[in-house]
Amino acid sequence: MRIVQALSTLAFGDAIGNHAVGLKKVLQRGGYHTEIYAEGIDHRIPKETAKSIRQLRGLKKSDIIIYHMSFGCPLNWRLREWKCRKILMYHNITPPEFTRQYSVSFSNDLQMGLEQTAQLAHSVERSIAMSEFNKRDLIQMGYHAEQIWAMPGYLIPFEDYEKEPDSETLRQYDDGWVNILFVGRFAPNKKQEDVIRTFAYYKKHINSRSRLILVGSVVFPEYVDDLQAYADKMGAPNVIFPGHVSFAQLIALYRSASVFLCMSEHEGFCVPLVEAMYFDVPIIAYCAAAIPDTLGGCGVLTESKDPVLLSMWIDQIINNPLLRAHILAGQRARLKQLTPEIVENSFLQYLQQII
Amino acid sequence: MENNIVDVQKIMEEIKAEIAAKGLANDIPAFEDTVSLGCGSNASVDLSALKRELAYLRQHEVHYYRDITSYHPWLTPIVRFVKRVIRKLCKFLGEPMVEEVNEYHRHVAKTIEHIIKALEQQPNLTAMSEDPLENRVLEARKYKQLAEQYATQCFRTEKLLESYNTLKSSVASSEDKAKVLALNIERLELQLEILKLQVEKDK
Repeated sequence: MRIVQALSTLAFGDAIGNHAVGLKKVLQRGGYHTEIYAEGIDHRIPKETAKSIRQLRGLKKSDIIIYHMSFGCPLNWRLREWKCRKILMYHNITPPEFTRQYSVSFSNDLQMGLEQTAQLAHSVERSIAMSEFNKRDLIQMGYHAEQIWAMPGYLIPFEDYEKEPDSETLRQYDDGWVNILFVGRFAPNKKQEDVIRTFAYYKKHINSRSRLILVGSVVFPEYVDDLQAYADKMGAPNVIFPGHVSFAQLIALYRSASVFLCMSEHEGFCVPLVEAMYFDVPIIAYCAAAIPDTLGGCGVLTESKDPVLLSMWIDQIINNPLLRAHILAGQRARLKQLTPEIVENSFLQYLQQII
Repeated sequence: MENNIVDVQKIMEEIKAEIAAKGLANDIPAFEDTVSLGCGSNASVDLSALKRELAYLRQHEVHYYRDITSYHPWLTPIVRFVKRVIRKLCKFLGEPMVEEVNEYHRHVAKTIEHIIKALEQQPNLTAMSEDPLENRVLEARKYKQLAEQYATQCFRTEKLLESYNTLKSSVASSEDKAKVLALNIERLELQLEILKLQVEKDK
């Protein structure tokens, strides 16, 4: 029996790609014959990691295919054709309304993805949701609750975070200023504008020795242009857009961050929150989508986007050591529930149950 | 704020009290009110993006017929049959509309194609798309500003025209009313004269 994974694109350094590669290692350790098949494979990924989807042949009825669903594409329809046991791993699809202003074709693909996910409800044997929020989404789309398993989290290789941080970045930002950090691709659902708005208030009225660092790959260049224009108009000169940074730089940025501020309105899980927990960066996050599930009661979860209130919270976290310690203790406790060992064991247990 | 820890809630109350006591208010305008969204406020003209959008427009057509399905566990065949019947019944209405939408898209695609050609014929603009020099970016911004001003003027003209029409109709109705009033006055004057004549006759 083979357990294979299939996905449209195996990207380098993104949560889904890392998760798929992590799952492959877990399956290999569990003694399963496994492989990853993808339509597009990033050239930076080692060749032995994944194969082209064209090479996916000879599936038997007893074989299992784990299909990663996160976007609309023609490959999603092929899942119905494969004659084997099918498990849909749902990473969630961003509601198309968020991106329509910046790309109609992109939002159409998202719409197609949502429709395809709904239409596959009776074609898959089981589903794995990457959060309780994703599970609720699947149920709404016609999936049976008892056939969905909510995975405790993503397989995040924590040992990678112990690598050496980029010394230049550390030197640049470790200067006694307050560094407000957000990590996530530049997409309208991530609401980087709300982070800028809060920062603009904080810098203007509370602490002028502060900067905002917005890290992430660029999906919509026009959105980044708009954000930059907004930051300029707000008179917030210390908004830094380093774009997609190297792993060593990312570690350095987390290490020099004072607060992690997330105003995102749609997340299927939000791996950067776990990263912030790992690097002991206090989190302030807007309560939306899967964010409460991922935080699991830790950090500061806000139902308001009022820049005044949020700025006061940042100030409290920076200047109240007791509160900071309390938040970090909560985050460390939560992190213990998301370790790769726990995720790996629960995944293998689940597999044993269904095989 | 939601956090189950009591001291966090206490801090929350303290923050709220401080905001109220100091009368702190947000003075940072919202993103939507500050930049013209989706235009890439700082972006230079990107011909390749325009070409991509054009290719998308050309490749995609709206279809009246699409996959009919149902997610119901056991009523699926019936639901699908009913949906097919409804689709058939609405064909006379839906198909011409879809065709019109496609026709509209074809016109939009042609317009974009003309714009691309026009841009490509201007060496400065073509160079600008490949080499975003600062002064050329400024030039593009000026064009954008002019376009925005033109759009604003169009909008104002439309509004003016609207109010002019409203005014005109109200004037017309006032004129009508005045005419009726004049007629009534004339009639009253006649009646008065008749009355006067009758009074004289009675004398």
